[in-house]
Amino acid sequence: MDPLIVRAQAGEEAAFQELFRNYRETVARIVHRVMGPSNEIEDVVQDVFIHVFRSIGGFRGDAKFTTWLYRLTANVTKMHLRRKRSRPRFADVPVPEGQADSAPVEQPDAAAERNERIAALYRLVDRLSDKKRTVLVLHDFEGLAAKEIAEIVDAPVLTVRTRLFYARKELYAALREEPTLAAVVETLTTDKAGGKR
Amino acid sequence: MTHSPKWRALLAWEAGVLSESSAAFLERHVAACEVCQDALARIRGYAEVQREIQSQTVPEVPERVGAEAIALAGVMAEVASAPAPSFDWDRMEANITKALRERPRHEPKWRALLAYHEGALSDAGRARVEAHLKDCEICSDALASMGAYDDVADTIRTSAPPVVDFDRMSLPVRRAARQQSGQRWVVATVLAMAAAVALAILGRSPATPEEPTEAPSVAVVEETPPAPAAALEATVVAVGGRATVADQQVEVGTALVEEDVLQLAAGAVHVRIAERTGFSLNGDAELGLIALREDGVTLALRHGRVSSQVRTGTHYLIEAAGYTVQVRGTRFDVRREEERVAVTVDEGVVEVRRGEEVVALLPAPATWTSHADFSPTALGGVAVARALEAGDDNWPVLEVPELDHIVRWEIDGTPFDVAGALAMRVPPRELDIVGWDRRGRRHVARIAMADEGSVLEATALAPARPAAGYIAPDDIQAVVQPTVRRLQRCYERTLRQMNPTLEGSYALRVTVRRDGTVRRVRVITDAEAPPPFVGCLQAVASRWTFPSPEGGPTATFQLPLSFSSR
Repeated sequence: MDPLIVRAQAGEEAAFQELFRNYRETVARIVHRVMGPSNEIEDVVQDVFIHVFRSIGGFRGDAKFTTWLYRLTANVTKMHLRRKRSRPRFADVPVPEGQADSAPVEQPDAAAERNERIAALYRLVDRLSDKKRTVLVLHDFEGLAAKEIAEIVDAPVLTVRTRLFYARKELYAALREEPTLAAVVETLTTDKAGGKR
Repeated sequence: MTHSPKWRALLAWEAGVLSESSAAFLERHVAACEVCQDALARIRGYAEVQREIQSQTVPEVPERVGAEAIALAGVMAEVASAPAPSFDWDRMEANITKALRERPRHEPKWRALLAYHEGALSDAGRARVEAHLKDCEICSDALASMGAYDDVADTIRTSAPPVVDFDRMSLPVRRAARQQSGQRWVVATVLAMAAAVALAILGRSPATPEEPTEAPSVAVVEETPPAPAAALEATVVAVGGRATVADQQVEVGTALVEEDVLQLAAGAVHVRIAERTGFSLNGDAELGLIALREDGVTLALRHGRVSSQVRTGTHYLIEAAGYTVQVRGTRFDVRREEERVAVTVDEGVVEVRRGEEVVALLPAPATWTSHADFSPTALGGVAVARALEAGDDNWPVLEVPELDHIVRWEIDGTPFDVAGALAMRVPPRELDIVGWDRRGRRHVARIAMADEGSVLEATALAPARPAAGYIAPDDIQAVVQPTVRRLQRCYERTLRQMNPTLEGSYALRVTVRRDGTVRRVRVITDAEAPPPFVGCLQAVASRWTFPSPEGGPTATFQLPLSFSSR
């Protein structure tokens, strides 16, 4: 087992801080992917680490630490989403994003449209069950393999693939309900009719 | 293994309704497939016979036509000459057009389209999908949706990570880390103490002053640890009334998993989550199974009443209207009506929180309510979910039919506040069943459970006799002994006046009223007893006054008497 984790399990505060620094970006990214545009990302990330420190004694090293961390992050985020569901959702929460070094500079209109498309997709993702949502987000947005997701969600790979299929199917079927996404569909249909596809 | 003939495709091909590309594909397949060749031969053979049947000439009616045939012909002629019924053809056409428009929409062929979209199809498969897409707007639209989804998902995947102020959160995280490193041993100690307290409370009710009763319970209730843990599968062990999960009727044996929402219109459902842990949902109620994990169970009570029994050490939590009721090892009950919540604790210690604030700490026996006008369940009234102690999924199912006059049941000691039919897992042995009618009268039955399950016959349930009371033998002796001499005189008088050879064994069967006075005395004997002798014995016995019977309105006992003249 990673000596850093052993030290954290022994209760060494410096080890906790190092774990936090090493994994905070990863956790923030997953939380962001799962929750979508939200102003609660920081709260959730903080909560994840509090839970990491409380539960790290139970990590036995059977799985990779990152798998364990993904699972815990997904669980904590899921709990936040459940609490959030009982409150009204704000559709147009600004997405706090940094600018990737290599990313081309976008025009403001294009960025706004892009953000609206993302927000619209997350509104549909919100309708998925927690299980489907987790699998879809980890696979399609986070880019994890089905096998790794199976370990994270503690389900057979086949189940993960099935959840992924039905999650996508639900999204495809609902896509036109969101005007911005319907516009993308229209564009693609037109492109196809024009022989571009 | 041979494949099944492609009947639909072959029939369509024979009928000439296949597209050129499909016909060509099928032709290639049939050329190489003996099964389909055989099927095609059958189709063609059948068609040939069908044509022959259709081309058969109608046999001529023989000249010798009977009276019946003539009559039939007459009736048929009448029918033929009757005016044709008039139809509203326009309305019919409109209806047909409408029905055609309302035909179920063609469901996109998602799997095939997805495979096509991901380039996972063979050339032939791709050609088939493309041929279908030419004429199918729905599938074309679905395919465009896939492209649109990919575009947005790509955007999300490649978007820059969020800007998070890690420095701002590092302080609370460090504080948590410090608490964790400093308190590890404290948690262990407190948990051990908590277990001891729970055991003490389970064993006997009032704790002695030196026993810790309150302090540990604070630590008993930790934050929910979302640490990875195996999922639990809860099982319905008893159900009466209409209970559903996702609109599906719940039955005994139905497995419930995380995220299920159990809805109950009336009656009760008993659910076993793990060994000695489970709940019963009662009346009009709705309960969400938020987390069912080995390291913790979280239930969300939307409304109604849930009674829980929790094995010591199990992390168990019920959320209701912003309140959180947390516990390890106890028997308690939570009721919710809109924003009002009430808790009854029959065993163990329960903590009620609202957010982070602890609003009540309830060592049993205790009740608590969020609103003065909302009453908790009475103390001692927390029902134990059936089959928690030694419940087994292999236990047979007892089915109890709906009986008009019965409004609640008690099956093998488990109360069940249900008026309708019910079913529950029960141990495979002889069981006592009690039903109460609207007037509170008991009806009882005893049923020997068969291994494969049993159904309670309505006729097996009979009105119960009032329970017999009891008077201790010493108390009887204390009343009877002073009057033995009088009983003896009854015998001696009979000897003198009527029967000098009278002797034999007698017994007095005495029924005592609630107030201890004697209601009835019968003299039981196998010998001949002169009526004056019987009357004398009854006169003495009827003046006895006993202590009030215990456990029932009346008590009956038998007193043996032996008389001898020698």
